[in-house]
Amino acid sequence: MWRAKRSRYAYLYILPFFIVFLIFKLYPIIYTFVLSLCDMDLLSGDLTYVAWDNYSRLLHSEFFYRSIGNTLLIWIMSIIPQLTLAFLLAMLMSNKWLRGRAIFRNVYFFPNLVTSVTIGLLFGTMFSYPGGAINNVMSVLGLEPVDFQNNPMLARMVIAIAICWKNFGFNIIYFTAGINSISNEVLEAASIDGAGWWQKVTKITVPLMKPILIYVMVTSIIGGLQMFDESKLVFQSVPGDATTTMIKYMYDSAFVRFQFGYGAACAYVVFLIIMFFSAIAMWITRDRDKEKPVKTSRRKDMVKA
Amino acid sequence: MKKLLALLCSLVMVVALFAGCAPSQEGGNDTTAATTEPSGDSTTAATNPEDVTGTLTYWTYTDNAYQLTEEFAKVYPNVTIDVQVFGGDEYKTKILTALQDGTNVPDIFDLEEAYVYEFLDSSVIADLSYIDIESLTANYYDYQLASMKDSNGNFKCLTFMSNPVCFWYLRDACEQWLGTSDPAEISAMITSWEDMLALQEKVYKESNGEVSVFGTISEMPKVSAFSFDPLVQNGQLVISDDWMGLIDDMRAFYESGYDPEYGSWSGEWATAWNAGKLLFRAMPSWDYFTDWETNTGNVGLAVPFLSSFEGQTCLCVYDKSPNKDLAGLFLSYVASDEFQIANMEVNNQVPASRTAIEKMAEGYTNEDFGGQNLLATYGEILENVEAITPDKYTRAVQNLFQKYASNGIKEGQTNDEIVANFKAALADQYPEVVIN
Repeated sequence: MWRAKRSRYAYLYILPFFIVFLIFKLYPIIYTFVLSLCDMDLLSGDLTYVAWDNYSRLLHSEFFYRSIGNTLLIWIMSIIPQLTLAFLLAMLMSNKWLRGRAIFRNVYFFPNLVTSVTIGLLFGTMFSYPGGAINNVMSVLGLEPVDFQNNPMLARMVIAIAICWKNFGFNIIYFTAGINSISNEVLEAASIDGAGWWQKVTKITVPLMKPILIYVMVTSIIGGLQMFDESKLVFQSVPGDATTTMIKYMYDSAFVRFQFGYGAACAYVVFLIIMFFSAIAMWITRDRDKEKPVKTSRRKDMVKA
Repeated sequence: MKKLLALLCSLVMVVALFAGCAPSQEGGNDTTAATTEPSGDSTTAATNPEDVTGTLTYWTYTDNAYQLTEEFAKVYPNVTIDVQVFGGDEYKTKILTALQDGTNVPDIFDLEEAYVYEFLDSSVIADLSYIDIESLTANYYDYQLASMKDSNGNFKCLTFMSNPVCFWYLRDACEQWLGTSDPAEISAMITSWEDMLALQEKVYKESNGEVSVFGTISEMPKVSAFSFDPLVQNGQLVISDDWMGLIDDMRAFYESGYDPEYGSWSGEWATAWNAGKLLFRAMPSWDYFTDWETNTGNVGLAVPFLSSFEGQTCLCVYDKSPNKDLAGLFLSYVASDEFQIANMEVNNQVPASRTAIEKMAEGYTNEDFGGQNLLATYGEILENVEAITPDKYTRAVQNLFQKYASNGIKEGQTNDEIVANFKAALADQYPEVVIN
């Protein structure tokens, strides 16, 4: 009886969240799906049911497939150095002998406080041709200036660098928290057993940080595949639409050409793609040990014998 | 008691969360309510401008709107205009949502040339025949009259500037490298892109690659855009020989080896101009790139060999506005020679009215432009702009063509490859356009 009463109170407490969730999350999700099956008249807002036409158009669009490829390429080019750099710096800053760790951590975090628009414009200016800051440095070193904007792969690389620079400080915070949560006793025990620095990192630190790594990986996939600001702002026009990402393609369809139904279909397909890659990431990083209980018991039996 | 407290807390949280959704009390709602009473009657009945009272809400994407309202206030001091400026892409979505929803809609609003034709056919935008727009704009250039109509030929918006595209040049640099800074002589030097390329080669060689005449091939279509037949006519793609010739001209320029390839509207482009290392730019009359402190009196305008315009601002009235008469009065004032002359004198915005230009042109000089009679130059260009009736494809497809031509040339594509890629992109973006 008391439990039932307590449950009713709990519903009251979570009510605000659910009201907001229903109105601002669930309703738009459902409405977007309905919209994706329709064409919308721009000013009356009237919907005309077109069944799966928008999805069919999307799935036959080579430009959309190209945008998926661009997104994945830029994401891979940004995520690998981003996580590697963040992990190495987090390891470095977890050493107690390093003075001014808090200052370094803050300095590395600063780019994350800068808006994506500012970063986009900043990198566009830095890498512009022929007189951007990077090309000026190259000229001083006696090198020929490089037209980053008109080289598809270099243009993607510049965007990847911008994203990496913005986010690596944020990942340092996660990794530092993960490293600090590892018990000193475990590390000391490993030292007593003769483990070196590399062995401690690979056999203790990384395995114990697995939940953090999975979290960072999944959020990076979700965030990375939604990249938009930098790809829109760093360079205005790149040959072969090499920096048009999935979200930019969706944005242009919906908000530049006012094809809201098509844009909504695009949003749903992007959602499925992100879900697919998140599932792959979770599958790769799953805890394999939990899947092998039989082998463990056999080993125990053997030890007993 | 606990139950009551929990309920209270929940209510407070819900109310707090929705507080941000409440309509602004300072915005349109109050304004509309306040203006209902003095609306049409006071406007139509009043003969003395000071007797006209009321409040209008005006949404725009550019703070140039303040110039309009300041001039209007000099004549109608008792009309208050609540200007609300929304920057960037946000504006498009905001005005669209307001018009769709029908609540909190401004009495008057600006739409940009790039997307205005997506909106004009709507019945929520007032047909301006109620203010006798044809008489008000009788002295406008033909291309402007064409650009203010919806697809049924009804006047649905008003423009008050001309925005002709000119060759802007630096007088001292032209004197040094071309031997003259006289606008007529400079105009005579450039009668085609071949002439421009010949000058480019000459100046590039003489300056050891330090100085360029023209900055980027991406700007070349800007000069031609409204002199050629539109790329989409009656829903069908038609690429005329003029457009193919433009690709050839762009290619010749790029492959000459003298093209500095400053990105269009890029920092380098502006820096090279402001530093005197770029002689010419194709620029509409509303330029904001020029460093006037450095170049005051040093800029000249040459008449391009093709006539074009760019960046119309279109004023519209909400059809269900309770202040429609007052809004009409505002538009009538903006269409007048009186306002457009003042706008030119104060803000260098070229009038849309031919008579306003002609009235001012006689003996007009502008010290920012080295004492040049800008209005005579602009008038010459405006008389030759083709009266093409634009639609939602006109500018968007021009821009797409420019993008695929520029990028294709840089990638070494043939003309056929460029056209094929352009067609593929057009089919992807506007599948309803018939492409043969």
